[in-house]
Amino acid sequence: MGTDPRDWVDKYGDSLFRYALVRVRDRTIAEDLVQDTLLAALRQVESFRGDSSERTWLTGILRHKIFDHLRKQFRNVPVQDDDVLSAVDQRGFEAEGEWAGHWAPGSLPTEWGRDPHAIMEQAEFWAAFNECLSLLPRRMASLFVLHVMDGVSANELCNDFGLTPTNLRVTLYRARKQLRDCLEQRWIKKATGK
Amino acid sequence: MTIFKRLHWAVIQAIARRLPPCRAITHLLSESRDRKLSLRERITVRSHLVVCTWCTRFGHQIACLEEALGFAADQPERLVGAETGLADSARDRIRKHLQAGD
Repeated sequence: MGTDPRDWVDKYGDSLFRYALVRVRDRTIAEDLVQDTLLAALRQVESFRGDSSERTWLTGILRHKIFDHLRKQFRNVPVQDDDVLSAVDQRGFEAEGEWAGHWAPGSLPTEWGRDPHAIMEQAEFWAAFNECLSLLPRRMASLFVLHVMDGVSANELCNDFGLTPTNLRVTLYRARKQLRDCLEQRWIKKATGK
Repeated sequence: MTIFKRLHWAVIQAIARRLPPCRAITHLLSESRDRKLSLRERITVRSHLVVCTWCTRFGHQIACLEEALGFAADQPERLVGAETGLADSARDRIRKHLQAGD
């Protein structure tokens, strides 16, 4: 059987909060989602049969709450001004001349190292990555995180967020490119002092 | 730079000029994370990567980003820090709601 619901806040509150925070990027919303999750769990505590751990059960409820929240928040929100975003697409590439569309000399991607596990051991990488995720437009960050972190399919995202496949493809490209550009500035250049 | 190296560089530049620009390749590299590229697209990307170190690095970088996010899915403390948790006020509020059962 599970623990006494009165102990849930102390036992699971912080880890559920972190789970929500990386996905919604807002402390107040993450706190509200943890509260909604624990109250929903309290109402259905009799249905918890102990097939999974209590933590997994609570995280499953939270995962649904997060998805519902993001869907309500971002469904049919107009895509940002195209001129601003196309500037993001152009950044780092030659604008004209015989090398138009190729990497500009000051923006050449650097070598991050071939072993992702070695990179993930670096606290500086995670700090910069979190900072860079916070700098992405909210909807872009949430779509990228849901797709990559939680494996929500492209079809599901298009249906639930009212996006066309082209909108989604461009949004994911911009998320990847902006994160990469940002990490070059805030992690690599900081580490190498350039 | 030796004559051989200059010649080698000139050949690479000549090939690169005839290939789709890096910007188009970065779009395809991004899309390849979400769908299977067509044979034509795969050939376009591979032939570009043979001569372009920068796009090869871009591909590694976006793969690394996604591996890191996948890693953080179960360990969000990697991203937001293990010391990050509920504020005391939120903790008290949630406790009260749980006790009241509402």
